Amino acid sequence: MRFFSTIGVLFYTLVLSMLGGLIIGFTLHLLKLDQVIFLLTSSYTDINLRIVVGLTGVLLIFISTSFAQLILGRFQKERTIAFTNPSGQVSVSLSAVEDLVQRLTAHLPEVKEVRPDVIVNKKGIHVDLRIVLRSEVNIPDFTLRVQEMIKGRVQDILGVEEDVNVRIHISKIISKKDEKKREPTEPPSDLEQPSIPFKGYGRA
Amino acid sequence: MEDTKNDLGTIRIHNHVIAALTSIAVSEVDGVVGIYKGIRGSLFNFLGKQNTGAIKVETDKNNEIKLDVAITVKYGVHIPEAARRVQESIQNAIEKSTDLNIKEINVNVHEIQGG
Repeated sequence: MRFFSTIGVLFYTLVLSMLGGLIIGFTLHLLKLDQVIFLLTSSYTDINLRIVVGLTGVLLIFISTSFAQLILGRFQKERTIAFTNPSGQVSVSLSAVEDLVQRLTAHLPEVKEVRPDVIVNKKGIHVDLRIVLRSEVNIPDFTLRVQEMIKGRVQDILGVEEDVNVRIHISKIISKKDEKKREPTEPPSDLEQPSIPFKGYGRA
Repeated sequence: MEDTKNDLGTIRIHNHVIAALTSIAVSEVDGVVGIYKGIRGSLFNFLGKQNTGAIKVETDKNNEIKLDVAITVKYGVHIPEAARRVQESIQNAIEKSTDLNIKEINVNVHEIQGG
């Protein structure tokens, strides 16, 4: 599989480089307009050249779709945590694990916003958390608590014994003032509300 | 499409029927919200059609069924346990209603809801 990926990458590098070179050559007048027109005219009129150009197009589409399937298939395969039981296979998509981590952390009073990202590889499950914190939080204590909580809950809920590595990135700390500023301000209740004209004169 | 022959003729059970049985069996399991909908499922719901895209039914030469089911579970449930209950529920429902043999039930947990 790796061999085909390498061939695919090399092929696209070559094709795109050639295309880039042609475009540069055209703009720098290294390619003469007569030559380009001659090439286009002959590939448009000559039956043999038309067949060759057409087959090249079909081949390019075939290679592109195969390569895309190869890459997408691999990404899809890696986006789950799977285990088997006697009835079949159980796979948990990483987006579900991200949902779980989101729900575990979002209700904590110290957390304003959280954005989880889960990756699985041979070394285990890696949870990356980007958190916006409220102020007056002891960050080392808080992050340790969150790391332990996520590790325990993910292992417990998924029923896996793989190592869960939790990495926390505090992206912002919001003060109470900032929070109050962002909240929509309600009009003070002691102020008189403007009276609505013709209130109470509804249609019969 | 699964064929069963008897003295009077052939009974054919369409894959959609197995998918529908699977969908009902999944919805009856505790801790499971149901079949995963996603964007496509929501669109089907909007159009008033049944979405069986999250359930794949395959039959092999021996007339044994292989099922791939994408589900949504409730927040806080033990996923391996919920998946096992889903597999049992599907197996019971299909074997009870169709007498067909099930080779494999693959459960894919796609989403966690609630909490």
